[in-house]
Amino acid sequence: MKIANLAKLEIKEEEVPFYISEMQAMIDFAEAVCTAQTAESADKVKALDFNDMREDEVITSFDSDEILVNAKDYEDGFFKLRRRA
Amino acid sequence: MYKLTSGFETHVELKTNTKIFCSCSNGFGSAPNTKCCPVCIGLPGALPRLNKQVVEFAVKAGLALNCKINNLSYMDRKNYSYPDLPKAYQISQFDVPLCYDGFVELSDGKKIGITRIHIEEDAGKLIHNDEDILIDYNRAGVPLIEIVSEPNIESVEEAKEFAEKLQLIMRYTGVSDCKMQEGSMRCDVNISVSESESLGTRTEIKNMNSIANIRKAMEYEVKRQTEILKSGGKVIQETLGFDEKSGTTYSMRTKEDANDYRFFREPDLLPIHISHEDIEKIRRTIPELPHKKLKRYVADFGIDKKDAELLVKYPRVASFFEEAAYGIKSSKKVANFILGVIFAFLKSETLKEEFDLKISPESLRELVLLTDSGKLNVSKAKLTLEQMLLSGKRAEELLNDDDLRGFDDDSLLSLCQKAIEVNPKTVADYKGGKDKAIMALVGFVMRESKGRADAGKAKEKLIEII
Amino acid sequence: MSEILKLHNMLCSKEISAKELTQKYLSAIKSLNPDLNAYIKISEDEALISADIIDRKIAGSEDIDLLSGIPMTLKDNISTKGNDTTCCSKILEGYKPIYDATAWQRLKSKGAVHLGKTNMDEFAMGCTTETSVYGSSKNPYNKNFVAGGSSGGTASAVSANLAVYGIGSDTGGSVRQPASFCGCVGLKPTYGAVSRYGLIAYASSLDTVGVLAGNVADTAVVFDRIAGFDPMDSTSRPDFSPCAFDFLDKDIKGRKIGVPQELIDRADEDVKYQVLKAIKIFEDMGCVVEFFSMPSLITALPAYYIIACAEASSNLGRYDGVRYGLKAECFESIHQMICKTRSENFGDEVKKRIMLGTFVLSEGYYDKYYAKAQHLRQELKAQFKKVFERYDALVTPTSPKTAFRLCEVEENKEGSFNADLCTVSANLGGLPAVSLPCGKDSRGLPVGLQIIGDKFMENRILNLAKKFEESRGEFGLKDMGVRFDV
Repeated sequence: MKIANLAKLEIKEEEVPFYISEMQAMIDFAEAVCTAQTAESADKVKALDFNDMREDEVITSFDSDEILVNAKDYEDGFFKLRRRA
Repeated sequence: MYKLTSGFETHVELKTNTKIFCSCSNGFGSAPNTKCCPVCIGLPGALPRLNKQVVEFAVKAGLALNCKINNLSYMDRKNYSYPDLPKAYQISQFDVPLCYDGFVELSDGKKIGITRIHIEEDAGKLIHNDEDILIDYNRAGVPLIEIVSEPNIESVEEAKEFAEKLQLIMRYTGVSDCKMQEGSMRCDVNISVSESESLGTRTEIKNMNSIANIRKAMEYEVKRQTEILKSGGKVIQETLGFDEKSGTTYSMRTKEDANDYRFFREPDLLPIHISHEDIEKIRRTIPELPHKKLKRYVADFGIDKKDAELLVKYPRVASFFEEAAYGIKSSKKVANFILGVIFAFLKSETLKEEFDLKISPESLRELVLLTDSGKLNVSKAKLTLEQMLLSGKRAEELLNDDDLRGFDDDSLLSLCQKAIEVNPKTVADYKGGKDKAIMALVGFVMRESKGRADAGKAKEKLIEII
Repeated sequence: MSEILKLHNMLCSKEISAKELTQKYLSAIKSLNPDLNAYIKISEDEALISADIIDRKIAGSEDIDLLSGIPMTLKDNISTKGNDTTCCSKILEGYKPIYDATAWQRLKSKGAVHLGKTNMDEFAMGCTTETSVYGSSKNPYNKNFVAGGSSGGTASAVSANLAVYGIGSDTGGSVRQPASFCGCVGLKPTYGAVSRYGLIAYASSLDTVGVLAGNVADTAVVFDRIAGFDPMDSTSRPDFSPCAFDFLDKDIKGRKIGVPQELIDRADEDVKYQVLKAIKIFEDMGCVVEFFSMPSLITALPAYYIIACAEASSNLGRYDGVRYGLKAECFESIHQMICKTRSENFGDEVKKRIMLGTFVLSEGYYDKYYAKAQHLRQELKAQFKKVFERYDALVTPTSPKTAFRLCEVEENKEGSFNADLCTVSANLGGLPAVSLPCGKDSRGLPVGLQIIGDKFMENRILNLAKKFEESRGEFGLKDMGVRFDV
């Protein structure tokens, strides 16, 4: 139930019992991670030591038509979200 | 006695050319969704690329606020769902921010701590209508720094000063315009009130859009919380908005019921490495900051503290002043001209901030030098300056030989002597204690010289003779 | 043995036109796809137009790339500008990207002929293609068995000679395992070798764009053209220049090959038998083979699931119907609209993984699951570093099993988790790995052999694979799809 509640952040839960049992199976499987032994001092793998940052140069943006092309609802160049339907 | 404790979380929009994670232009006021690309609207498969300038600006801001800089810092995902957030997560920094442990020094010497500064992306803009919400993602991906202060602000005055100083320092570094009314600087104020040493429950007032409103909101909130506590009630921890019209705070609906942001390292970006050399390079680009400038104006230029504060308040005014006053003795005159004639000419705050004049600092300097040499008196100079501001012409172009003949000291002396001779009664009045009488004599000198004499000098001379 | 080279020569010598070649593939697809369900969308017009352009170049005696005019397929999570890209999910129904994925863009610029999108598990979550909204893809070797997943449709198409090669994605084995089940070659490149820009994300630190082809040489030709730095992807390696094709025929005598005992032990009998036979072939070719123990490969599997689901729960948060994809019809509030849109249009497997991911990142559980899994991952990477100081490559089965029967996995959860046992560690370690067929099981289904290399050592593993392939001899379905046997 706790898991289903948490996931309600994004998802509405209808088939709670089904999901609980599925989740439980996955979590049981994942428990192996919790009990796994880890070495006290694992050799630190060197983090990539280069930066990949880009220059501050403008590239023309996309047309608003293209930006909106996949939207189901739009109005005057804005994305539109109806409050209820 | 109820004690106030407050801390600020300030979001500052950085003035880079492009957004933080894509090369769309970072600007203001375009038609909706015309400054977007797959990255900033979070299309499936799009990936972020960090803008170098954002990191440099953030470090610059941090150094200007006396922060330490992390040589290695990380970007993290902050997950939550809201229509203005295209990816359903914001790329921000969680546990290892770019800057930490700085301060802003107030005029009384108290240091308001800066806990941390981190970089993150802004969300889109929502227009709330009754039936629907309209969304514009132009602002999505605009680079922000979030400046978090220690909660050691203890009065509304301190809060106001802190906000003003923070804003000014950011403007001087050039990393942001920090215009609250435009949204390039947004403050969230945490505030709590307590009778004892321990902290009371705090509320957060969001989206303050002017320093005046911050002050009003805080004053109201302090009163509200104090009254609750006095009557034995409990302050609820909540997020509040401020209604300008009524001058009251009100409870806001929270963005998310559960604030579990599930932070984790952003896998699409590399850690940010900044070497000591990089940091020093950036430090060298920081111009003289306001508090130093203020001290220097008072000490080296001999300007009054109040006048200096006004000059320093506007970075462009300060640099104009310095250029105009360069190498001449009468820097005070320069300041007076700026604060007097020019400010009166500009009228609004916006114009003062822009300080976009038709004249150059050199031409102001020329004008001042003319008054110094006695060729032009101050009142005439003021009129000339107004004309210069309107026309863009230099002083010498506007004044003819006659005007510039000036009034040398010998002529002044003889005129003064004449004034004394011709007006014995007035002289007697003055000697008898009527100080104002001297002005009549000055008037005589002015009339005789057809306005060319310098009134101030005349007065001095007359007093000297008498 | 390279199909691409053969076809390239046929095109240049005008033995066949690009249009004729494309038409052959299109009609083979029309006749075989209804049974196999490999393709979910066929781009007939686009393919013929591309072919036509190549024909004109050839007519004008222009030089053309090896890949020009060669018919191929893309897995449905590779963004194609103006063309439906849905990850075989209802929630992206009708979604047309406004940009091309870099990997596809590079092939397009070389004149590749795109026949259509192939089937996959929804959002790449699965190992049988059965979670696809279009239904499962069948294994060309036996249609009662699955093609594997998540790039099952792509592997099925390549294996049935309905495409010369395909581009897929591999997050936990999604290119290698279907390649293994369907008896073709599947390459998962080093993380950072091929740009992920335009690959619809499942798990960002594990996803790679991969290649499926009928033989090792073709795999190398394609890899060389899609790999290399892309400024649009911050995780792509700046100093990497692919040159796998040039290394294919280098001598492999003396190469040190390590075989992790744990993975051999857990394989089905048939698989074990074929893989051990294959290892003997390497020995006969002069390689030094050593069996060794690497128990962390076993804990890698649950660690993989935790990390993958966590990243997926974040990556899939954006699907709310506001900017693209389907949107719920009836709702009382915006929050409800979002929840409904997602609940109605995501499949069960996707919802499960999103919830698991949300869970392991949540307050109170983050340290126990996610942080711990990342810690295990770091340890695994450190171990791999040591392992590759000793060995040039590792050889393992690609999967402990051969293809599942249709619907077998739904009934047996444990089985589906373990199918990825041999493949996930390469994803966790960011290492390159290739799967190629080494034999068949008692049911006639292909068995896959996996060769894993150190970072950016695609040259080496493809070299070993090529030599093995030569030694093994012919493999493939001769009487299906389009074949040009000389």
